[in-house]
Amino acid sequence: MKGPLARLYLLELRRIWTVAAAFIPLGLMLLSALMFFTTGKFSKTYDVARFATSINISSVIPLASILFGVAMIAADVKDGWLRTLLIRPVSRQSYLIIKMAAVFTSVVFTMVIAGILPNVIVSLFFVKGEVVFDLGRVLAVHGVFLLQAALIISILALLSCWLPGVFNVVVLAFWYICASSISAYIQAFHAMDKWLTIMKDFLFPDGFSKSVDAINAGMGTPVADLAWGFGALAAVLALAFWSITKIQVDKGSE
Amino acid sequence: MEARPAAVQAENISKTYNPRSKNAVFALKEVGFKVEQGEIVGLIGPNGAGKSTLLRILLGFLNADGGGKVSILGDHPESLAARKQIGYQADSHFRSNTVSTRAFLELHALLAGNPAPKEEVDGILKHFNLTNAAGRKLSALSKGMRQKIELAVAFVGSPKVVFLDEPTASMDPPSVFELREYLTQQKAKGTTVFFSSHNLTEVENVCDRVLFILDGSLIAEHSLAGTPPGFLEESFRKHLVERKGS
Repeated sequence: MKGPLARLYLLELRRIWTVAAAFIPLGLMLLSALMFFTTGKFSKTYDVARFATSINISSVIPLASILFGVAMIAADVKDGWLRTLLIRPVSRQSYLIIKMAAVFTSVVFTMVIAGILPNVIVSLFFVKGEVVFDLGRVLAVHGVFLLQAALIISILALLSCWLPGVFNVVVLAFWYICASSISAYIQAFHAMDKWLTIMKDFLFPDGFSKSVDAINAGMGTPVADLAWGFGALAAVLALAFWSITKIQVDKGSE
Repeated sequence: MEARPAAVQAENISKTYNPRSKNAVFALKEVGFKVEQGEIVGLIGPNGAGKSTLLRILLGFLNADGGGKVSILGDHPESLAARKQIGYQADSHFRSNTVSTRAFLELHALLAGNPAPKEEVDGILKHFNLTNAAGRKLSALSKGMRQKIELAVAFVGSPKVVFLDEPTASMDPPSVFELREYLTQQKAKGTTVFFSSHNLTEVENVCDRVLFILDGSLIAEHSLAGTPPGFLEESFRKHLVERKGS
């Protein structure tokens, strides 16, 4: 890779992949291998796509995204990297794309190491019962995982434009808890109310999670759920790209 | 014939930190000045006078209060056209335990538009006596070395306008002499340099003109052509005394 932006992307990857960062995929791999192995050992039926979903959606993707992407912009403002970079003819939008691409690559790598490899190995060698391997479904759910990762990374990018460090995760967790509570309330009491349902889908954008559930349930292409997911992704990305043009690269000092 | 745009032009720049708070700090008050192309202009003033704030507003890193206007070679400082012409020595001393000095400089050269930066980076490393530090990670270097690297970065890509923020603050005397020589060479090439400093001797030795800033206001401006040694120190004292008196 030779161009300036390609070099910047490689440098961003190098900045992410410190020695300590290598423990993230390894740690998650041990965790998921243990879960896959335990499940594979005692289940009568081992559905590769379903188990991939349970591990990736609930732990690997959110954890890897948060660990690699937390404060991705705020940290660069704080340590002066953004200042030293934006003095060059690099647009803020290009910087944001490269930053998110580097985090996304790291999350995908982690997903391969921690979410795919143990699943394949366990399904090949350690399952006593029947192995269900529907290639189309496996590829489809993994495709949606990538979109889910893109969505979480975009949310983190948006938050880190405005909030410092670990506050991103706190706000994300608070948002998730509130949205889940409101979502449960709406489902329990106002399930038929169209506008409340739409609001729920945007409170915590879960279109992609619901798409994976629909694929695993054999309901065909979940067009409506995917549309919600893409809608949320587009909205969050638009906000992130607007935010990056508004933030002050330097907070100044009195 | 169309007039050449000023290298740096600032009009009516004010900056208030925490404007809605009771503890609002008026960092800059209606500052305006012009730096012509090829000039070396120093910005001096005591700590907290507003030098760094002004520099950051000039570079577009910090927003001025409404009404102010900054242009670099006729363009907005955040425009890509202006960015192609600017060099900046930050005072952030960016540390990284994964990025080496050479990788850092090569990235800047590439971003500045040099597709084959090795030769340029070798020259800069040699000029700033950083060849031995080329392979070392930025976090492994001393404060003075990192400052030299930031300084080297400012001149990567042969920018037309260079901003330096306290360039000699952590430098040893030989490095200060090297910088003086380098700035003289840059001036001969027509590079405009705008720098803030506490080091009056340095400013006097290098600059064509000097701006005094005190309590956020530009209070004086002097051409240094033909002035006797020590002129700047004397003027600085005089301005401080006048200010206290008023």
